[in-house]
Amino acid sequence: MPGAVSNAALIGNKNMKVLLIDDSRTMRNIQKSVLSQLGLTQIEEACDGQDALSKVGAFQPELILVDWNMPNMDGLSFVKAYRQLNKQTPMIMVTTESEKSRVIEAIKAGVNNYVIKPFTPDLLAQRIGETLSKKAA
Amino acid sequence: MQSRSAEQTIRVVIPDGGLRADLHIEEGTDPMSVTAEVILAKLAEAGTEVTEASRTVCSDLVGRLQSLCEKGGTVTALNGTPPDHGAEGYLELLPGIDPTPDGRRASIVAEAAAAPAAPSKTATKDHYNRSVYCLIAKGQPVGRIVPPRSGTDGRDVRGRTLACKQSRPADCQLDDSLAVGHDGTITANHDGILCHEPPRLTLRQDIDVGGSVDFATGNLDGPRDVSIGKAIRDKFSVSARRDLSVGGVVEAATISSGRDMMLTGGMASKEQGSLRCARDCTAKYLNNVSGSIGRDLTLDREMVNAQLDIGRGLMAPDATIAGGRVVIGGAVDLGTLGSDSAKTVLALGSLPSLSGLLDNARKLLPSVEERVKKAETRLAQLKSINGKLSHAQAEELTELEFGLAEARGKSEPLAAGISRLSGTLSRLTTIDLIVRQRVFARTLLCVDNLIADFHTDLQGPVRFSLAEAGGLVVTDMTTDQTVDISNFAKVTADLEAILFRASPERKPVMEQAPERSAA
Repeated sequence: MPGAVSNAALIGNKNMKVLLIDDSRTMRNIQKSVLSQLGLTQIEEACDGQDALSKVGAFQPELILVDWNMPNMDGLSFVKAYRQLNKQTPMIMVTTESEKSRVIEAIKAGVNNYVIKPFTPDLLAQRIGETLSKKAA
Repeated sequence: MQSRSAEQTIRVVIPDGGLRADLHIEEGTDPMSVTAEVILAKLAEAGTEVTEASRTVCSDLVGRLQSLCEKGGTVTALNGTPPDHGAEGYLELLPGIDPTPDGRRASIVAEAAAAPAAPSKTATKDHYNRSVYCLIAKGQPVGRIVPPRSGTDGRDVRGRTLACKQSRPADCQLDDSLAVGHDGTITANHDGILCHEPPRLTLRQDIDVGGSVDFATGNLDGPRDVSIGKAIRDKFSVSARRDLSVGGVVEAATISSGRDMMLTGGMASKEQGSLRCARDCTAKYLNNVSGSIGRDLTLDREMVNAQLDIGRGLMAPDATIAGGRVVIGGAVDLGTLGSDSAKTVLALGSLPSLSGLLDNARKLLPSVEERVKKAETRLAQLKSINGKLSHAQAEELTELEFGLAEARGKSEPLAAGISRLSGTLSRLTTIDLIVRQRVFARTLLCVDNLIADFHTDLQGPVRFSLAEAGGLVVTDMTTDQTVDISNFAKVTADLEAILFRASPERKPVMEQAPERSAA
């Protein structure tokens, strides 16, 4: 994944803690692989919004990748609930929801970037790099 | 008898270098004459320090001295303070760390003596594995330097200072093989054998054993060079991460070196010994030995019943190979090949280590390419769907994109690696065999996919090489005449069967050699 390697230069803090929220283990593994290509290895996983809320206190993530459609608590509800607790940590919505209205809804709820499935590893790496460099600026 | 005054009968004695002042009162002293003032005056007269405390002591002593007036006696009036000399610094090694071979040997013997006469099956002890050398791994703590504790001066009853001794730091010299932390903890900067020749404490990387490797030394695993003056006994193992040299005979032991190996006394026993040498090996003889040599073998006398893979050449113009199976990648210069009694297999131009790797890589490549092809087909199908993808299709597409990137990332370097490996293999292997004395009947000579099974003896000096047409030819080095090998041997084509029947568990050399060269 050459794109991921070139985006790795954008990640200043390789000890950054990342929380992945997706009900599909395969999708989490894909995201984990992209993150490790970027040099990020401190990764926690959650299978839905509720699970994620129970983990954010102890884990204190510095970047969150969240899916939209999940059982128990969907991604949008999680984003709204988490933004009540934390307004700083960047969040990227990684979802199959591709309609413009949905993207706007997610941005309004507090996500910093949006990746529509299907995505390539390079694209995800690029979005992560963009989000972190914007946050750093 | 008329009683006398205390001024006449009280005497002050100061023994123990001034650390005590005793009052001696003679018999027949008038008790009324014993007063605090008299006692204080006597003590001051003797040179003791007069302080508020000594005044109090004098008042307290009046009663006691009065009780001794009739018969006389002695009481201690003042005590000085002796000096506290503190404590010297010292080296404290952790339990179980004994850097002296004799100390370790003694503890091993003591442990063996303390063990029950008939140990249970579950409590067996590996006596081979108890080395008298104190092997330390990089980063391992070995002990600490305890700092000195400073003392305090004392004071005698005359008020003079009694100086304490200056406590000295630990008499311990460390070199850069060991590091000392802020708390005095000593840790190893690299692997090595801990040696303590006071005041020097160091980690030696080379092991030099004057005698033999046996129960007195235990197994050895040297972090660098290992040199054994005499023999290596049955079932012991010796490994050197660099060079290994042995002056005496190596019995059915396990030996390995990350670089060169020199077996001056050879290696031989009734049972099979094991040898792994990553680079060049020199030996007097190798009998009943299995293993591998990464580069060249120089052999003086003989190799009998050996199962050996040699990565490059064999230089043995005066030696004999008899029995066993020897696979050699490069040129061979040999005295005698085969014997009357044992079947001998010699395979030329083969590098089992690299061939094994190449075979594995070649087997792997089609399955990776198949994965890429399948993913590409499905990806094309999904991308050709008109309109919006379902959630499930979108997720599948993501998985496929990822799988494809991963598989492509593997297949391209794999194909490049196969090509490089093939190149290396053809560069390193050669068919060039010189036999100076004789080739015995019943010898099997394996080259490429050909097996030459000798049915008659062949007198040397002869040279075996590949003809341009592809067959094996023999050149008489005296007359320079070249004939086809079929004049002396039955030639068939079943190399794999012969090789792998002879050594089914053969493994690549590179997996076993710790520091194999780049080649």
